[in-house]
Amino acid sequence: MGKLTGGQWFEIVFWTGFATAAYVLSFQFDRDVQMYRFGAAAWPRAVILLILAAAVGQLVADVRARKAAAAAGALEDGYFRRMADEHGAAFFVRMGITLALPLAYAALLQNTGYYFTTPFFLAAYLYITGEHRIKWLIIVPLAIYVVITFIFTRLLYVGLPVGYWPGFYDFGNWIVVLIR
Amino acid sequence: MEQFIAGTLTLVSSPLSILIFFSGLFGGLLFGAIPGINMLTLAAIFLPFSGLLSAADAIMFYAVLYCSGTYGGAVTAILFNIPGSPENAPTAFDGYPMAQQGLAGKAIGAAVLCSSFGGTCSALLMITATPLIADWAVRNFGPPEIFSLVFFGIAVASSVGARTLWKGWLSVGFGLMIATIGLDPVAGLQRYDFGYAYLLAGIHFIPTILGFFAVSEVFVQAERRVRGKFDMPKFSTHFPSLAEFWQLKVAVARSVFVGFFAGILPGIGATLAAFMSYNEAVRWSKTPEKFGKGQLEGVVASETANNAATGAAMIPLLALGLPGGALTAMMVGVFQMHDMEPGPLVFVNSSELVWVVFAAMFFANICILGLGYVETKTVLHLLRIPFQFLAPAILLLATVGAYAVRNLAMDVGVMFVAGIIAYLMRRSGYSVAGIVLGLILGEIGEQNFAQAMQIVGYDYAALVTRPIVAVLLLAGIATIGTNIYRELRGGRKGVEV
Repeated sequence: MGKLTGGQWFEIVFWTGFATAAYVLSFQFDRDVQMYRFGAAAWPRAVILLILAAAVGQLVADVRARKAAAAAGALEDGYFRRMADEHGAAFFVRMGITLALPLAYAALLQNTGYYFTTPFFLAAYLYITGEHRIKWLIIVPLAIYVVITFIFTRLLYVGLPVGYWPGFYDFGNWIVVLIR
Repeated sequence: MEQFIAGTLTLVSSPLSILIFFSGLFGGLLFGAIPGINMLTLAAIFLPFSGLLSAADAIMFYAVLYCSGTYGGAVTAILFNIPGSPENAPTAFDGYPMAQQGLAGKAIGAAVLCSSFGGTCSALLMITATPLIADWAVRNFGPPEIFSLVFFGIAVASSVGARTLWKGWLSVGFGLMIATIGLDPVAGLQRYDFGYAYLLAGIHFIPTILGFFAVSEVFVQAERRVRGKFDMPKFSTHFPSLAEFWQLKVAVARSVFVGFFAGILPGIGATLAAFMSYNEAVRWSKTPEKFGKGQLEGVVASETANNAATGAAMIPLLALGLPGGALTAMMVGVFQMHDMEPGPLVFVNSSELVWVVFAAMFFANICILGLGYVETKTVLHLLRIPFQFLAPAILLLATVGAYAVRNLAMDVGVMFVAGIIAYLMRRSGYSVAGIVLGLILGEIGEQNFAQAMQIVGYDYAALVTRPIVAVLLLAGIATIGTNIYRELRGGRKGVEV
């Protein structure tokens, strides 16, 4: 019998955990509603039931597929396991940075502002995705930044975040005045 | 016919009317293509100025904008997986994979032709059958019918794009759960808000779909570069042949019907029309597993239906004074600014206005064909830019688009989190399309279920004695049963994205 992969176990644990947490949290709004007999928790709980049923279905399907693959001698690892075997830890480090960089940008956006942070974010993203030529690391982010900022700030008059922190706020406003 | 000709003559006899017609046309194409800044943005910006125009010109501007804006978002959906507007989201399901396979020209050509065809058919139907259809649909389609339509849609959604049926259901369930965040649609109770004011309004649709489609795609391409397996998308400007379209004649006809019918129903509109039509294309297909991988029929179904919904949305607005969506609601505002009320009396008191609007919508849909063709031939060349240079531009465009919806930096964070979730789920065989379908159908479904239960007095037997409800619920149950049977018999082929 073929055992489930780590990824498959993770998925099962994730979905049952997700459904359990959602069910427990649904008691926070499980109150009587005068105009609607079923209340506010009925619909989310129906969805939770659907998720649990599908998770069980997936577990059964995974076990059946692994058994069949083991019988045929064609067991395969999960996607991320294959990536680890093929590319080593470096794959996860680079992908981790690739995914985390936009989150860091979003977290900084409100405080340091769009106008200051964006060129650095674009250059960093370009670098982490494999572009290491200095010329392109300067030209491409600047070109994208100038064109998109001009279109949205000047032509469409969209108010982009200027930042809260002192200095960044002044810089952001200075750029806005410059463009408009 | 005489009235249509009179409306056309009124339209072309005034240079100002022609200018307004083309402003609406180009404005819709442009604003529809920019994520976050959609046709509603332009419609809202224009609202204060519409009082300066005649009622006919002002209403005509909005009607033309509705037609062209609905098509506009298809181009970026196909080229970059960025739906310009929610109604173009299903277009990306198959349009973008087609672009990846070097068939961008074919996908955009299909989108242009089908948008134009769907819109024109809808305009013709609108012209001939407005009072009759409006009366029937509005009388026979209440919350129970809309709920059963949503149930049917959810049943079909599970079969779109995931590696197994169960992963399809998990994807849809995840989308449905996201839709429950915020205030419940019946009593306004707070659900899953964790004490954050931001979550009270729910997870906004635009940042979420930008994350699910555009950002996750950038991550997928970035991963290919990290693995050293990145290939430039192939470039071609080959449009679909007439023979290919002829093969899809049934899909086109079905999409016109679905789109037109969904458009008539207040509160449904072009977005749900596109999703429902896509679902129907999958359900009727002999090879449903090919959807989500670059099936031309997916693009055809979505784009035909969303434009077919535009003409239909005018029917309840003009015949009964019921707006079906945000843009038609703004049109009610324009009527009121001119001391008019949309409804049956408009046909009596302002028939010239009605026929100018009908004529303008008819010609707008025909113009989409020509302008869309020219736009395609130029915009398609963006694919020649190496993706590593395009990726930061897509991320920035999505960032600005997500932020501009509500001027909230948190929306940008939500978009990136959605992008990461979608990337991980795609890599594990889940369906982004399924999540989005669950997200959009969830709120509509819950609201209409609650209203339906109140209408039938919580009596399920009374619910299923309504013929349309019975048919749709049975069709949904049959779809679920068939899918489970197929899955248990041998499973489906995997989907690699």
